[in-house]
Amino acid sequence: MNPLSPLSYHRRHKRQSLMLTALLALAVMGLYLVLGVLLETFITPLYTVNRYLSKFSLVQPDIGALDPAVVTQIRANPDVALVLPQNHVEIAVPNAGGVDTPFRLIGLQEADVDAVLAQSGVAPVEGQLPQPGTNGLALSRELATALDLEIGDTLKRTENNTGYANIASPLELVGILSGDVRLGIVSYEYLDNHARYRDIARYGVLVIARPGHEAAVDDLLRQTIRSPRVETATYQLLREYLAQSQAVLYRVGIPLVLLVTVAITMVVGAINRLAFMQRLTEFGTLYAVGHGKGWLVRRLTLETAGLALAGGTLGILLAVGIMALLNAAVYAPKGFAYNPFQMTVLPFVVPILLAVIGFTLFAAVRAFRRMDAVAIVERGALSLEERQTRSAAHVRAVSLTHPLAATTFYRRHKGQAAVLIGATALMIVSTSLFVFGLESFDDARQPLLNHLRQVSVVAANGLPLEPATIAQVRAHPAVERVIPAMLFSPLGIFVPPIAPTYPVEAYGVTAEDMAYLVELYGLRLDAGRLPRPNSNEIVIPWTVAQNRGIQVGDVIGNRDHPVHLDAPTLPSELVVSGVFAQAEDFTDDNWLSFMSLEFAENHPDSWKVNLSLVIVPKTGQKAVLDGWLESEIAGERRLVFTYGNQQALFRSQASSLLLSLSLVESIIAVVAALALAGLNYIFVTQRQAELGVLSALGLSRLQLVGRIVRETLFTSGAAWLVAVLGGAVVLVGMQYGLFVPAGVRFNFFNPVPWLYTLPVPVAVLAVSAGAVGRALSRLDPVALIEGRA
Amino acid sequence: MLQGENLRLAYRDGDATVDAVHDVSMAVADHQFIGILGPSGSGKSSLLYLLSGLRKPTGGEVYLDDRAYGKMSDRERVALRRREFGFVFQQHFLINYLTAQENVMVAAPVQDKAHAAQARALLADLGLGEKLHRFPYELSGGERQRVAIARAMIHRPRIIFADEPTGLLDRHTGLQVIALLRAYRDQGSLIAVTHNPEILSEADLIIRMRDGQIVAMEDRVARQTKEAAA
Repeated sequence: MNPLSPLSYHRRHKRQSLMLTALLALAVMGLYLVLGVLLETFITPLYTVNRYLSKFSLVQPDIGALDPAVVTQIRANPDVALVLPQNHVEIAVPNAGGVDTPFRLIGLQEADVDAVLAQSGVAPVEGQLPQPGTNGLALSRELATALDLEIGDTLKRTENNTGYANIASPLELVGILSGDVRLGIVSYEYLDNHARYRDIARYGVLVIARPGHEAAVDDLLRQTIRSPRVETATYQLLREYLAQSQAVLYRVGIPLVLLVTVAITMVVGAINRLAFMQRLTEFGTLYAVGHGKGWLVRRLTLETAGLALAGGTLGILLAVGIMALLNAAVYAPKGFAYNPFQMTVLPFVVPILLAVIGFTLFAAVRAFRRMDAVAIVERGALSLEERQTRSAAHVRAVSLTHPLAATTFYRRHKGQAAVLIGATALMIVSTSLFVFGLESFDDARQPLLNHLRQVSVVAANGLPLEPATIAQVRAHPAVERVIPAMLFSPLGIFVPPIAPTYPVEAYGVTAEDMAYLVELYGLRLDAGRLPRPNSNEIVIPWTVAQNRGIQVGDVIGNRDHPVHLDAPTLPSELVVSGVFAQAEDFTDDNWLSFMSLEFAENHPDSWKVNLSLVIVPKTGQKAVLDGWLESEIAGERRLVFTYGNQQALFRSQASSLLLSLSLVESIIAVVAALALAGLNYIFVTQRQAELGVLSALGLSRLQLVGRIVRETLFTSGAAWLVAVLGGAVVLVGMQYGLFVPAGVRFNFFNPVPWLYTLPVPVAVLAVSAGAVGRALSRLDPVALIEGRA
Repeated sequence: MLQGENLRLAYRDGDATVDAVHDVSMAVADHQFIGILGPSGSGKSSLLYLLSGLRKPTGGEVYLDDRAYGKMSDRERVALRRREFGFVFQQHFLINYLTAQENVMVAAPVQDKAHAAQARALLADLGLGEKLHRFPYELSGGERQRVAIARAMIHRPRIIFADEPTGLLDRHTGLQVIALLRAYRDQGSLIAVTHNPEILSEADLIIRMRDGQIVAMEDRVARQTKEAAA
């Protein structure tokens, strides 16, 4: 064996080398898993489910019917093979992480089904294809698995109010498909003929390109056909959307990677530094016998590079193994199988290894620059120690009355304290980062429901409400007033930090009812006036105006010049006649708009929707009324919106996300706890002499462990405080830099994200106490006194 | 009174069993200065560890006022060390991030202002009044050993165990250190282990050891008679 090989040190210090390798492996594995799970939960399913767009494209108008000229233009293109009529409804397919992915159930005419299946490389493998005019549905096997459906089962809105919101009438699964892509096929005629689907289904054409001309057709649809009035769904657009979603994920992922990288680099750097100090004599001797400083730096860096390579490889292998297990146990059974080897994740884990190598190189160059071989050989001290001595002499200590206090060691070892506290704080921030983002967003969107605090709503599902139901509601003893209203979502609100646009509701009501509701909600105008009867005017809340930069007099709903990006398409333009004032307390903010019912009823365009009922309860009767509405009125034809059921829906959405994030963050927490506890353990074992002498002087092991635990409590507590203060500063920045300018706010005192800051320090404390306790159980003061320890 | 009866300390060295201490009996009266003398490997330090409870004997028993160490729990033995004994080792074993005063305070029964004042007074008595707040690496070898002595005395132990306390010091400093330890005899007993007979000139009893056994015991009267005869 070459004694000067970079491997020699590791061969003779297996324990330390293994620990560092394991630490790096854990960090790499943790980041790989975090990003891998996030990708497979939030991004890849979008692609997996909608990959049928690689076989054909869809074209549809924003509202109404597709302009025949557009269809003619597409047909005339030489790259286009087929243009088929299609209609579709959208459902949400929940993936393994509980996140909904939108998916189209495409309505095809019987004669076109074979062509679409052949083009998609899909064939029926069980049951049959939907018969024309029936409510049959054929689904790819993976989708049926994800939706937990078998042949003969029905898809009902009542079973999943949000996922199946567009399933106005139940669809029955009659066939299972299998092939290259996932498809859901229903009868065109059924959607077209069913009264409840007429307003819900989207109509357009399905475009199939000639073989080898897919890219040209994609370009045609995206660049020539697509306009504010014509929507296209193509493979290239899907990929662009995925890239945007991935960019959003990376916006969150990159700070996470940075935090973990810095923390791990600090930990490995601290361990390397301790090892370096122990090897001073070795370096001094090697330098004295003629090995240059450059050679020493190279050797030390190569040693670390070897560890990094081993740790990185091991970490990736472990992560791939765990991803494979997760795939087999969770994702594949839910119809979302994936490749455990995630190439896209690799660029995010490599920086840890490079940072560790880079830091070692930097530290080695810095230390060797001051190296004095004679000082090392003669006194066993590098200038590093001399510097420490000098600085200690400069800062004359004042003796403490309690030298065995938990803070004494770290008061005298500020560098170590900074590393431990800094690394722990960074890890705490890493584990709670996502939850702070999610919870602030969840908080900020709460006012979406505030209008339901005073009223409840019974909405028509496809068909008009039955007179008997209306009479039944009116007759209920808890009802104060029933207001006929049309419900619209003419605007959307952007909720930071990375949220989509949320539709905000508008009630189309009579002038009398509008005045009543304005008083009921305690709203007052900040500018302008309420909409005049039978006018295309709308009064909007201050928050929406602020969020979208809208003022009195602005026009919304212009199809060619939308008032904001991704603004909902309206049948005709509306003019903002007034803006309500902001609520004094943001938690009372009401994001409801009002417009004229008469306008909607009388307008020739398709403003007219089925009337809903806004129900005002008698004082103190809201809970009774809501309970009755939810149990007696909600059904296939009637949707009931109460504050309670909508709040529960919000909560379930948030908690399913929170659950996914908890899983992800627990991975980081485990890595963090092990890394930091390992570092703490090393710091403690460096203090064998101190602990041995204290033991000889009569301190019991329990007292010694207690002292170390108190010290760890101090560093973990300090780290928690630093992280929480840092978190608070970031939250204030987010609130006033991001949320307030958008007109929304979140609650600083929501306890959930703050609770997520606790696992890391608690785990560090527990693991450190265990490891140190175990190490001290072998402590032999005599061995130390005799110099054998 | 501290008593050791038929003490034995054996350990495994490969396949062989080595007796570091073999069938040793001895007693230490209050305020007595006992010196244990012998060459390296004679078992004198091992005997000190047995008497101070740092090691459990493989045979025999140690008693302090008729309380047998063997019947005490680990916790009781640790508490006994903390309360009744003080230690000075060949190396100072001071904690390098604590000042001189703090190092002394480490052995105080209670860490409070009164004991801090006592530590300062003790260090001043030992000539370190100006260096209370110095760290060990800022002190000379003799100064460090004096801090270690103050640490051994702060809680007024009944017995101070000193294991080669001058081993790493020059002769002059060594004699200073031994004088300081000897002065403690007014308050408690002193058991000093050394291979240097010079520092045991004032000992009440010198125990000579070789190969783990006591080969001779000489009290001061016997030594003085011997010296006069010589």
